[in-house]
Amino acid sequence: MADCTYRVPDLVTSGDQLYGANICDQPFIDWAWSEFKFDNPYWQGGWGFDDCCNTTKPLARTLNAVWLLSYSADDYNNEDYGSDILHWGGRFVREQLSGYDLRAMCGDGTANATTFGAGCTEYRETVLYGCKQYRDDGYSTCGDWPWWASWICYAWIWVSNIVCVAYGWLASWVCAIGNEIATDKRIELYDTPYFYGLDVPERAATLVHETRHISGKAHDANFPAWSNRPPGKSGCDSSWDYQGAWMYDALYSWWFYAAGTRTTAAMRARAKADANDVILNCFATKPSFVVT
Amino acid sequence: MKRWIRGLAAAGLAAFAWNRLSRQWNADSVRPLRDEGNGTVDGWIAPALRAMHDPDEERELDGLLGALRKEPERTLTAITSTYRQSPADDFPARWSLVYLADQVELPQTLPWFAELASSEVPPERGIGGHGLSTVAEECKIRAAAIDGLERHAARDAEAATDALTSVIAQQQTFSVRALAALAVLAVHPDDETRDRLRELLGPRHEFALDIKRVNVTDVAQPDRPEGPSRARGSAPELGGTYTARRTSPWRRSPNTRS
Repeated sequence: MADCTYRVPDLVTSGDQLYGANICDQPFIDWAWSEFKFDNPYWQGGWGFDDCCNTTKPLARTLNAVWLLSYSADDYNNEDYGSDILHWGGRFVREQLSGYDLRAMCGDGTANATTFGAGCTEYRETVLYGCKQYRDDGYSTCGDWPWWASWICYAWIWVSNIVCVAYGWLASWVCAIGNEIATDKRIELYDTPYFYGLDVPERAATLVHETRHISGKAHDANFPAWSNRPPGKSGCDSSWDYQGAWMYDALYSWWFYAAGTRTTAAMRARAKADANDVILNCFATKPSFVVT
Repeated sequence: MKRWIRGLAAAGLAAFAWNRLSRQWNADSVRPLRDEGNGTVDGWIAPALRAMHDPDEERELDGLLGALRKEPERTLTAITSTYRQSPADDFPARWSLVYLADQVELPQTLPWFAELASSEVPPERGIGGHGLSTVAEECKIRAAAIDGLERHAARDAEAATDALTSVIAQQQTFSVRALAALAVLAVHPDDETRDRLRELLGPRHEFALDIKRVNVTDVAQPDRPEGPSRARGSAPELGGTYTARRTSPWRRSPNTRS
């Protein structure tokens, strides 16, 4: 277990000075504390509860990320899901955190943050994604059959896909009942990587990433041979179209770069670098685009 | 049957109680944090670095960069020495110094960008994967240097194009090589250059040439997330009115709060 110590990086270049000037506002603190489910005991004892404007402490550094998530769209009151993720990213995180707690913890260096209790929804989404793939591949294969026999193929795929989907939902409900009783649903943010290794836009994108797990998307692939993460290690997403945590993570950074407000060009450029890093390294299919 | 249901209910209650108790135990074992110290920035470039990261001061940035341009050697020395003195794991600070060097737009920065972009990526000191990856952070710093080289190359500096080509030849990491190749192609989008880059990248990484630079609106967006049709609990209005609560952290007199 790593020592629970920290060294505060430069506050200007991490964006903590920029956003720290905004968070020290009691209405915002009250709202963020409640809506983002900060778990009181876990932010005491040096983590910042008694010093919540101090951007050298984990609580203020997390509030900085929450402020960025909440106010970076020009019209921040528009959180419609029909808009882009820059608008609804904060809403998404809040809604997914319902029923979960947000905690600060001493890490062991293996992660920036970890979500606990999302296994049932992740299992359901994995099964449903598998069913969809099975159905699409099946229909495609049926098209190759002679016309007079293809209806049998289509019918079989249609029925078996319904069984597959029903199984996914039933299994996840049974799992969720047990989960509610036995699991303490939470996101743990770790010292030092989350609080002191990441800049403010990266911390915000990490919250989006973790809550995407809550909404049911587990990582479904290993890092590919060309990745700058350890190749072959789990934690990668199969593709952009899988719409997993890395897609949400990169897309939030990308939109922040393209249209983020109440920030600076340097912070946005940094977000561009974050997005490109994820796009080029965190998907198992070969990348076909980067941020322009 | 009733006995069986009562047993099941009791087991459920016991599991719930255990969950709450273990949660309290975990909370009691939260460990305190200790601060271990900080780094420094050269005074000559500090105002520009601050302005780059403050929306209120950003409008003064052009003037500050102009002042830095008037003394190119002093500026380059300040940036590079601050970079060298920055803690290795303060990645945002190191990245910002490279970005500042790019924004200053001095011809003298070219050799430093070339050296930085070609420098070997140190081995992973984090955990990689799902945690903080120091390799990824180092690659972002090299990507910023590649941006700087591309700006030089766009100004018809052949040395910058050569430096970018050299990055592709020397680097092992795909993302750095790919970004360098895209930078070369942005300036020299001809077939001859493409063929030369294909040879440099080799069969392992030649797919970098199929990557396009696109706008965010050109890529697939997520399906509409599940959730209420309208957002609830939205952020308070900036500069709005305020009603105090009793349970959240307090900014004015923290020690008086429970």
